[in-house]
Amino acid sequence: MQNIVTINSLTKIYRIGKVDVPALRGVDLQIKRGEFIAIMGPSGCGKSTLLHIMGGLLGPTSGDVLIEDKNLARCSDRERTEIRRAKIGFVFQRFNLFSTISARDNLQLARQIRGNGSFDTHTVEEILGVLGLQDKMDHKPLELSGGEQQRVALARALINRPALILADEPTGNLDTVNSQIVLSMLRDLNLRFNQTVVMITHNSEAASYAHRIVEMRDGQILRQPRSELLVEPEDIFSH
Amino acid sequence: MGLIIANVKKRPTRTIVSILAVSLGVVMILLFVGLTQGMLKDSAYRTQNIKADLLFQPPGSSLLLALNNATMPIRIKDKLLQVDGIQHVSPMLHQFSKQSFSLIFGIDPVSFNQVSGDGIIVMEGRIFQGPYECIVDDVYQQSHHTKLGHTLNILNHTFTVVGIFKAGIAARILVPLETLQDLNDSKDKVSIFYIKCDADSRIEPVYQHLLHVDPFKGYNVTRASDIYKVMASNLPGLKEFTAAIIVSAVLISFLVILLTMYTTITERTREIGILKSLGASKGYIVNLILKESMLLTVIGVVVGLLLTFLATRVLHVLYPSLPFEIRLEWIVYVALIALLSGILGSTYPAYRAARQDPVEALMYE
Repeated sequence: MQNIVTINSLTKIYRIGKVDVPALRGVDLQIKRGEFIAIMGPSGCGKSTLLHIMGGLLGPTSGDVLIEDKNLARCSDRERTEIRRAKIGFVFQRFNLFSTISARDNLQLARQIRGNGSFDTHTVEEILGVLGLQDKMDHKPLELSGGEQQRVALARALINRPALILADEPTGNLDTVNSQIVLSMLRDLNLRFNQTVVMITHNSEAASYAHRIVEMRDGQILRQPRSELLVEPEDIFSH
Repeated sequence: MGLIIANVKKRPTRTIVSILAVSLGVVMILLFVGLTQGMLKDSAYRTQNIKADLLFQPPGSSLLLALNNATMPIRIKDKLLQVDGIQHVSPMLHQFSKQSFSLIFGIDPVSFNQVSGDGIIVMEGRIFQGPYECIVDDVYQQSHHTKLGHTLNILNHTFTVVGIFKAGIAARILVPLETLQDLNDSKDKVSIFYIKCDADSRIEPVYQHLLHVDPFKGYNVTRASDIYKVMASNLPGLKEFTAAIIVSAVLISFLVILLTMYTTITERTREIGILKSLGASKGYIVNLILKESMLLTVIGVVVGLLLTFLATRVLHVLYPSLPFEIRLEWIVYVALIALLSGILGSTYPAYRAARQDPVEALMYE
């Protein structure tokens, strides 16, 4: 099965004052299309840095990060922005929705940034249906529960049909019930739409929703078991 | 656009202050330019309505009659009448009255009517026949609630209003030439001669003769058709003062928009991080900030135009004789100036927003 993410010998060193602080020390990771992986590890182990580099928000110090055939490590800031716009959707712990506009306008904004004129409304309706958001679209984020806000954030990440969803502690601000709802939806989207998901979490129960759990410590990957993804799911977008 | 409007609505006080700052600049420029242009045009219109062909003034004098203290002997009139092509000459003395804050003309009604043709149209009462009598135009009458028989204090002397004439010619207050000469301690002196030629074709030759032939050489001679242009160019410091008003207005708008957009992007650091995470380019973010400042500026311009309209109406009620001339070209000019200051004011904040590190922005509390 084709790798959607290929990371080789990735390092990231932050310079704080006159001190070099290594955040990633030679990370190698391959993620297959349609895979749902969880990255676990203690605070400061480099999970978020790895996610930000995968999303093109941050440049690496050395190594290669291939998203499909594009190497983010060799791209300019402008090219990284284009790749992020075209191929990546983010879901954050704090939802990061625009509070002044409705859920619909939040999604519309993501579409507008993508500049996608011809849009598959059937897919949009299907995504909203899976996320149970049809009757919430005219509400502003602060009128929604935390779980609903995170579902809107999930819809926003999916609306442009990205190749890769990067979720940074998506259940970190949710109670148990809403966490389970969001995680079930992530898994459902992964299964139904063949959506590749990379999720950072501290929670082993959340991680159990993934095909594969990658454990990190001190900027390195400790353990990377073989993927449970044996059969390629149906790609609904290709219809 | 939804995000831009939502952002503008989020901080109503800041939005209102920004809009008012822009509108203040618009009001400042339009009121000042409108008043100066209006006064110039009104003055030129009333001078042109005398229907003289040429104006003859002492050397170094100004067509802005209120600023003019120069005088010349009245006997020049006889020499002017000897020039081939000149049919009538009417002398006048101008005096600015601080008490009534208006220009007063001392005229000789007979020669004035010869030059003017239609002359002064008296609507009520009569033309003055003796010293310390005056006539006022109907605009002055309405604005000062003047009636026949009322008295006016001119140069610390009491004048009786004996007639009301139709506005639009000469000055708002007319008095006998000799009386004004006495009061001004300038017996047999006048400020200006209004000249009527015997045919339109004689205007240019007479004009050239007065410019180049002694004893008239050195005097100021103006064609009636050039009055507005000459007045506008003669007003001392007008261009400089107009430029100062414009620069002040631009600076006010620029600084307020700069401050507004700077605080806005600081406050919205996290939102800029979100936009970047969604794949927004630097250009998109710059465009967003510029559009927001443009929205504030456009609303400011509209509010400024409404306030200007309101202010001119109020001033017209309070001072009916105050002329305003607000032309479309100045409205367009002022709108462009305001938009420019809006763009300039938001450029640095927009640039700063676009350069923000997305990861740091997303972590901003």
